[in-house]
Formats: sequence, C-alpha cells, structure tokens
Amino acid sequence: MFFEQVLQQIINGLMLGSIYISVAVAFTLAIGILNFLNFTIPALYMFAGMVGWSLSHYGLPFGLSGPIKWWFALFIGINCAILASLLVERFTYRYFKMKHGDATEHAIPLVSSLGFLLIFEYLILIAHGSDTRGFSTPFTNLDWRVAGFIISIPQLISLILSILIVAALSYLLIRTKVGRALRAIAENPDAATLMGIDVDRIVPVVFILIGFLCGVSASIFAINYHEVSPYMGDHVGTKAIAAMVIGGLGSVWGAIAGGLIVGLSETLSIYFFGASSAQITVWSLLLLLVVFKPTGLFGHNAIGKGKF
Amino acid sequence: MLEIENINVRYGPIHALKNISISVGESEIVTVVGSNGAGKSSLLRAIAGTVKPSKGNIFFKEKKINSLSAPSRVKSGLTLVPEGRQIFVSMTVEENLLLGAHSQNRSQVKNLVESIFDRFSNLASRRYQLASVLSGGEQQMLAIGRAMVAKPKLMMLDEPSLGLSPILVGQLFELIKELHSEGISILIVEQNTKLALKTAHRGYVLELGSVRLEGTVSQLAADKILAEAYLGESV
Repeated sequence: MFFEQVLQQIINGLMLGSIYISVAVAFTLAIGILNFLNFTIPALYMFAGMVGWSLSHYGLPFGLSGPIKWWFALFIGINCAILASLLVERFTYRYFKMKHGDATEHAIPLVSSLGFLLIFEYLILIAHGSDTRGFSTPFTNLDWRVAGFIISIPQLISLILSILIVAALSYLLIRTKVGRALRAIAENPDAATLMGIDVDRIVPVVFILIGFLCGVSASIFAINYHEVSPYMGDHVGTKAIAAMVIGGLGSVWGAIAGGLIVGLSETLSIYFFGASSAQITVWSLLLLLVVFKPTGLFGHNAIGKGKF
Repeated sequence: MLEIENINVRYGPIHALKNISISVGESEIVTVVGSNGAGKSSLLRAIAGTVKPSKGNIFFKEKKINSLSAPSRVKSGLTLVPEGRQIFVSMTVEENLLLGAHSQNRSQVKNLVESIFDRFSNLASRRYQLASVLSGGEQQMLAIGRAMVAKPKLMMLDEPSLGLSPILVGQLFELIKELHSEGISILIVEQNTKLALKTAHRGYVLELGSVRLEGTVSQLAADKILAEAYLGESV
C-alpha cells in the first residue's frame, strides 16, 4: 500500500513537472542565448492564463463578444504572451543594446524585466482582483486507471506535449538556419554579425519562443488544475528557475530533466513532510547540486552561456 | 573597390582613428601595418560595420555604405576574417561554414560549402568534428573558408599569421595570393611587416590612429623609418 502510494506520487510529480518544463526551457533560452535572466517569464505565464480565463469568462473587451470557447481563449492567451514578450524585448534588451552596445553587459535589462514582471502582475490585479479563478474545460475526471494507479489523461497528454515541443525546439536550434544563427549569437555575437547574421532581427525570435513556451505552459496548467490566478507565475517561476539550474544553464534537454526532478521532489516532499516543505526540498536539492556539480546535470559551463 | 575618406573612430575619450583615408583597388592586395594600438583593427571593424565612425565616409563598389549594417555589408561582398579567428568552437566545422554562407541563397549554400571542403582536405576529414579540436592552422583555414563561402569581393584579414608556425604562415600567404588570383581584393592587417610587404601591392603604415606612410611596397620597403621601426633593420 505504501509503495503504491509513493508510486502514485511519483506519477503525479512527473505530471506536475510537465508544467515546469516549458517555463524552465524559456528561462534557459534567455540565459543560454542572450545571457539574460529574464524575470518577466513568470509574468508572461500568468498573463497567458489570466487572459485565457478573462476571455472564456467575459469575452472580448468592450463587449465585442460573449464568453469565448476555452481552447480559443487559451490560444489568444498564448498569442498575448508572445506579444508581451516582444514588448519586453523592445524595452529591455533592444533598448539597452542600442544605448550601450551590449545589453548583456549591464544589469539594467535584468532589473527592467523585474519591473515588467511587477507591472504585468499589478495590471492584472487591478483588472481582475487577487482571487483565484476557476477555469472550466470539458476535461474533468478523465482518468486512466492502470494496475491501481490513477493517471490523469490531460496531464499525460500535457507531459507528452511538453516533451514534443522541447524536441521540436531542439531540432530548430540544431538543424535549422535560424537555430544555427541563434547558437552563433549565443557563442559570439560579434563574430555572428561578421557572418552576415542580423542579430537585431534574430533576437526577437528568442522572445517569441519564450512567450510561446510560457503561454503553452500556462494553458497546460489551466487545463489540468482548472484554475488560474494573478500569482500563478510566482509559484511556477521559482520552480522553473530551480529546474533550469538543476538541468544546467543553457541546456534545453537539461530543462526537461530539471522540470521533472523538481515536480517529483515537490510531490514527494508534500507527501512525506507536508505542503510547507516543498520549497525547502527543491531549493536544498538545488543548493546541494550547485555545490557538487555547479554545471547542473547537463550544462557545460558553470556560469554563463550554454551549449545546445 | 574600397575608398575610405577621412574616417574617425572614437571610443569615448579615446580617438582611435584620426582622418584616415585609404583605398583598395580591383584585384589589389593592400596591407596596413603598424604597432599595437595603432588603430589597425579599428579600421577593419569600421569598414566591416561593427564599429561606427564618428566622421568620414566609406565607399564600396562606388556606393556610400556608411549607413549600411554589418550584415548588409557582408551581403554586398565585404567580409572580415577577425583577429584570433573567432570560429564557433561549440559547433562543427561544417556548421561554421554554413554560418559563413548565412547570407547566401539556400540553393547555393551546399555547393559553396563543398567547394571549401574540396579545397581544404584537412577540413573535409574533420567535417563533423567540433571546431575546438582543430589545430591553430586548421582554425585559420576554417576562418578563411568561412569568409570565402560568403562570396566576397573584398576580403579583410586581421592579423592572420598570429600564433601560427613559420611553415603555416608561408602556406597562409600562398593561399592569400591564390584568393587574389581568383579575383578577390585583399586588405590585410599584419604585424609581420616583412611578409605583408612581400605579399601586397601597396601598403599603409598606421601610427597612433593616423596614416604615417603610404605607397607601393617597394616605396615603403625603401623608407628608412619603416625599415628601422618595423622591419628590424638598423639604418
């Protein structure tokens, strides 16, 4: 009985990890390619979820429509996260690159992205208050019972989807012209420019991917946990940063491993030691890893730019 | 091919280039020599478009290119092989060449990359290896090959002999002559003044950001100050 319960928690942990995977990959892309710890990522995640909820609950602004179907609302939410991410690119990364020649040399983009995080959060708080909102989809009680274990089908699909998206992203980075250009920028932006790569045109691709990953992850959360809140980004943000560091900075596949490990540690910790212990377990694990393997599980460099 | 008129480059309070005017003609090898800090690399970077001049004009193929971005300059046929090679060490030899051909049409990329492998058999045998495992000489070949796939009309080389053995330096300058015979104009910045003057048609001597001397290589070689300062000959 005990082992069955632990196994069930392991299954739940892996499913929870699917939420963290995409956000951890978003963090790792920003660090790995731009050497930029983009603090807006949790806000983009929350923004996609709250926009999705708002549209499915109230419809388009100014009474342009009634409540929109949940899937279409989430689709618009993902696109809003992409647009918001491009806004962050324009006013943090690009602005400071234009002004100082190199955005990554300055702490200002990092602080500005923190500013955007708070602005997005408080805009949503002003618009919708601080309450957690229910998000209804047709996928309630869709469970698969195998050998006494309960596997939520939407969660299983979400996990597979997250891994497929990361696999596609990895393919893009390794096999395509844009991916090669992004890796060249990650390694040496000056030399990339001398190859004829227009850094200013390619960098927004990173921010589009970041917005997309945050939007997808928020949609997966809303579908599986049937709720969204203005604070949902804070919770997932810290876990995703931990997942990124555990997996190795700049490593896309490391972010998958990190996401799953964080999800597992969280559910097992809650099962054994209670809800308050989750953060302590996750961050203790991270600190231990940093002491014994500073590069993370799959990272190449202890600090700075990673290799895909 | 290339005309530089009174170019000035400043890095904050440092005036790196002061009213420099140089030119490179069709199918010409031109060298710029000078000691460390003379402004040689700044000059190449200003031409490549990675450093913005505060004053002056740059003409390439009779078009003013001051406002052209660095990637657009590559597309128009101006490439720079930077100092220290700056190859992408986390990528394979083939990926480095594909990056060099970034601005070329998709249909031409394969042929361009294969032409480099045909030319440099050492690189062909290491095609799928990381560029970091290449020797210094192979890395320089890769850096030049990477510039060649961009189909340059003018290739600029910044200190290409740096860190290479004398035999490899000889091979490198033979390659530069070969490129020139294929119709590529060459602008070469070099600390190995003797070799640079032996290879080039004309040259400029930079000192503290200004052109101190200019002329054909025989005129420069005959100059007493140059001979004493850069060729190690006591006069």
